[in-house]
Amino acid sequence: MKFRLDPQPLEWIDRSESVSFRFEGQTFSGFSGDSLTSALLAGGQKLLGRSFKYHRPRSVLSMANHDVNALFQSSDATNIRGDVTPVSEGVDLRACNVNGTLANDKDRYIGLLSRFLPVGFYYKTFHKPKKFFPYWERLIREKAGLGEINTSWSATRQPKRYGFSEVLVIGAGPSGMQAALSAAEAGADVVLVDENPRIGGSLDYQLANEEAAAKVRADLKSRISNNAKIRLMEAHYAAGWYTDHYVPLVGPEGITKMRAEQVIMATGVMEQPSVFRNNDLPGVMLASAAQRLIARYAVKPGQRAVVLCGNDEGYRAALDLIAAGVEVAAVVDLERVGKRGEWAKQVQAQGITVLDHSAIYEAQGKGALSAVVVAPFNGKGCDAGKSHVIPCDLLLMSVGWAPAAQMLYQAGAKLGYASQAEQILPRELPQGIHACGRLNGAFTLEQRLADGSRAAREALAQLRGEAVVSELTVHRDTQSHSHPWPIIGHPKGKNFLDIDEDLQLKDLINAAKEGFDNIELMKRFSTNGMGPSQGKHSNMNGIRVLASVTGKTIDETGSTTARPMFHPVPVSALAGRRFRPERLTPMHQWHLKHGARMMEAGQWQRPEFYAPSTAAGAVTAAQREQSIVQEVQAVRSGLGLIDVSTLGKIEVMGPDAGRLLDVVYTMKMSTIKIGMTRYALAVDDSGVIIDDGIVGRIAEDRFYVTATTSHAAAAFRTLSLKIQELGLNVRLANLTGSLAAMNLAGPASRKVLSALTDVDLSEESFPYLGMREGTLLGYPVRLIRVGFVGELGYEIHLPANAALEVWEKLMDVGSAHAIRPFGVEAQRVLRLEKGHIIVGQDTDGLTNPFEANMSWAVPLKSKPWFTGKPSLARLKNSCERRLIGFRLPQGFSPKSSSEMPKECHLIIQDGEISGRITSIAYSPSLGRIIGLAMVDLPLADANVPMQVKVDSGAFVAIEPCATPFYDADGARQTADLTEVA
Amino acid sequence: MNANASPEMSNLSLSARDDLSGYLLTGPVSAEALAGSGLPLPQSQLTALELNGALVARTGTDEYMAFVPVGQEWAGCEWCFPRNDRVLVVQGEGWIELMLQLCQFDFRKMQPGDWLMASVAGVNCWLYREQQGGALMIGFDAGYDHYLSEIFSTLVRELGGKDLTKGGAL
Repeated sequence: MKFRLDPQPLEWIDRSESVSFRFEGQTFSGFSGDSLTSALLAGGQKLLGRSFKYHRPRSVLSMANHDVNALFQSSDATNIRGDVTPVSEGVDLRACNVNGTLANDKDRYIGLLSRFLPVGFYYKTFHKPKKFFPYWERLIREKAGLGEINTSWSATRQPKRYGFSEVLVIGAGPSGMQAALSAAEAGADVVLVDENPRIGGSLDYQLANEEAAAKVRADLKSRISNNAKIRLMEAHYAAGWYTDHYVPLVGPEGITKMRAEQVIMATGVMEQPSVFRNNDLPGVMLASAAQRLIARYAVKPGQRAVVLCGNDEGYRAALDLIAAGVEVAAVVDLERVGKRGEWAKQVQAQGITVLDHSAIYEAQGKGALSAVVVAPFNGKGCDAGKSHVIPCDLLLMSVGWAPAAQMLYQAGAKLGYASQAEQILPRELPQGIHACGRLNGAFTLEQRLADGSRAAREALAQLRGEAVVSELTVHRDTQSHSHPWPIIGHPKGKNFLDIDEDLQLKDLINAAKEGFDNIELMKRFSTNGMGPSQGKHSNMNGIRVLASVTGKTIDETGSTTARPMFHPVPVSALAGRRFRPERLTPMHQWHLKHGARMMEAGQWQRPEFYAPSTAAGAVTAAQREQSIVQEVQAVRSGLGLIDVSTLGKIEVMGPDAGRLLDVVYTMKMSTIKIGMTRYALAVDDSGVIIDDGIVGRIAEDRFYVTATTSHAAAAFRTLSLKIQELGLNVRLANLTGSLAAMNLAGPASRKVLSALTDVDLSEESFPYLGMREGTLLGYPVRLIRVGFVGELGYEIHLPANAALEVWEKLMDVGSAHAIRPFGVEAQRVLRLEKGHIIVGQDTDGLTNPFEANMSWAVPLKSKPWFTGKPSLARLKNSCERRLIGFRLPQGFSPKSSSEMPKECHLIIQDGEISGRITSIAYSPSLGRIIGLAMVDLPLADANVPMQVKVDSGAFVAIEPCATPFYDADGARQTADLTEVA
Repeated sequence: MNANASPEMSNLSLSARDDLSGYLLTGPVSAEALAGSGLPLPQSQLTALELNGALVARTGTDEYMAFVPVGQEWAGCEWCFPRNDRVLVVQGEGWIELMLQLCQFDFRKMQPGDWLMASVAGVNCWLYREQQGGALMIGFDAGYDHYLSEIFSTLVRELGGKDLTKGGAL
């Protein structure tokens, strides 16, 4: 570790614990607390990565979680940010985006072609001829990219948690710490969050050697650690702002979703680079990066340095370099040294050469910085004819700052350019949002502390509902800390403005000249700010360049939007713990025990079909088909039992119950006789079918409603809403979970059921569509004679805790009639044979009842009002499609699965899409394949063969036919065929 | 152990209440029916009262959820429906940390005797803090038992507690 300094007073590393790791095949060692980058630099490894497009050598820029050219790949992760990721024992790393090795990247010569890769070349070059685009796309992805994803990596999930606070302070620099203390000492419940593993912010690296700051630091940290009202969340970054002050805090263990009543943003500023030729060479870095390396990691950033200054902070950095044993060859000031403060005097007092009114015209070096070319600077450009060379291996850039204001923008704050500060500053903040510190233009330590207190005061006042006059601008510095034009042109270019995307100054100028002269357009055309650092180093200079080209002010030019989350968040953190509610019926274990293959139906698990276990475990497609056919045949010929507990079951009670149901469903429900049921079709206000079920009448003021499995909760919500909207005297009870239900269907159903219940099941007493209450095995039951599957059958609704016993008894007694449990797939076939639709399968988000051949369920004339009636009255004569029945030729036998028509396959007529299949299945009862299709008019009425395009690309003919396909007059569901026989 | 766990959480535990029968009462005579059966009658909506082992919550103008000890006789009313709830109980230090991972309610504000209806891990639940001891009861449709019990059990164990529904006491 030849570049490791003696212990620094505030260093993060633990020198008692060494850590060994590998990088590009070489072994390095560091200390616990080192970042990957600091450990590599300490070991003399200056080259850390290659650039995105030209594969240029790159190294440290910020050490602030923005170093996108120091991204590493390990065996189980990629795009690891070296500047902030702690080093860990044994990790084996290589650089991302390298062809070969980092040192001998085979793609490093791409830069020689840069003149052929102007701004927007992606858009201009590869779209013709179209057939070659896949080739170019693949090539570009290989050559220009980031890390590689390995799809064999195991998925990881980090739990999320919710958090709450009265005051959330984001950023634990001096102003943030002071704000947190002021708020907490006034009694507020405070969360103080900082992205770094330790609080202190710039106080601990920029002012690490300032005696005056030491006392402040000790005092702030001590009071924070002793204040029980402050919850400190180190190593967490606020990734965005969402409505009602909902702020995701991303930490090593995952995301905390913090809900705050007041948010104080003390997020500070991001140091901005200067633009000059070869400003990306390893050895060129931001001044604050060098200060972080020294103060946090005790790493000497170079041997001989030049410091480029556009503010006082550069002089502070020069002093820190001297203290770290770095030779400072010169300080180059963009302006007059006389306007600088105390730090400049200290630098001069140490005999350091200060070249003012000068700039770096060019950095030189092969693979790393070896010298800089300094030239006189007039505020806009350099006089290259008067340049001279200064040998050095380190160049610090201290030319200005951009506010870390992404979340202020997201919260709706208004910001504007303050020419006195040469920085974008907040002008107007929304309720509950506060800004302080350097983000707000307060730069001296005194200003930052006072501004933190001020922000806390205003947050507390808002928290208590007190009127407050904002003093947002009171503690701002009157001196500029940013240079308005740290951008130096060069005829040979390579003066990078966005090092994420290898964008040069000329690229942005050319983009603007090509007409992309709006900041958002320029961003997208040039890709400025679209790399991993999302413009944190390039946006401000991009705005300056565009403003210069267009002759507008910074405010007139505007800024791009930083959407939440504005900083990369691991997918594992976004994924969170898996919360996927799963609901089981009382018969679930029975189903599993009897070979059920389960499927999801909304949140419910339902048997898809039942098949005996095989030695191989999995059921083949043929076995599946065979099971479904056998289940269908059992219902048609004997007896079947299906678990329909998943149906929505709602009791509707009260004097206005009938009126409510008349409003919600298309057909009139208030006229149902007690003990009878009626089909219930629900449409929304636009007339689109949303649900169906039945409504049964229990008493004059009491109804029983069923809804489809997936729409049960929505049906309950709709009923509740209508009660409120119409002020009806109705009560609801959602019995979906407390009642189970099963459907006993088949010719033998009456015989089997009658032996177990006290309800009279005779045709005279209990007709089709009737509903009766009684007991079954001693349990209270509600029996409903409905015919979804087209056979004599009874839906049995009963308490959930009685369901399993009743189910088992029915299976036992039904065994004499070859009873079979049947699943969802058999039920789908059975109802298809009857031509019944399934809402959501045979209908889509636009289907109205007329299109579904259900005009019989839309009494436009006889019923004064129901939800959706006005829309349906208009739609009645303007249908453009219709659901039709179809069948395939008898004996149709596709050569393979890809030749078989399937649901969602398109009907093609004269080369145009004319419809799609909504349901299709083999009908055991008919011995052929049947289906439903939504077909455009007038083709749907033409009764001519149609062509379906199948997976293989071939066309298969289908024949339209009438529905129902089976038992057209409905005799089987209204008669006991066993008695007839 | 979860990063948010602390040694104090070791007395965190998950158990189940199988000794209650739940009912939904609604309509104009519901309050009368409760009072007539000697059950408590909460005065405000979304509040609950305990009495002699029974718990009654007022969930609407004249809608109540009543949980009475299994086997206890009571009259009910015309619009009274048995519920099929599963009731889990979380108690001990760390119950707030546990709930913070499942529900976006600030449980620091939930005092003994408070009643809440909220989504927990995506499932509609009712929650009640017992007057004595402050244990948190979580009730939900029994169809979700498999899903929610697994989640609670996992979290309790991650936080260093015990799942007493699966013999964790042993």
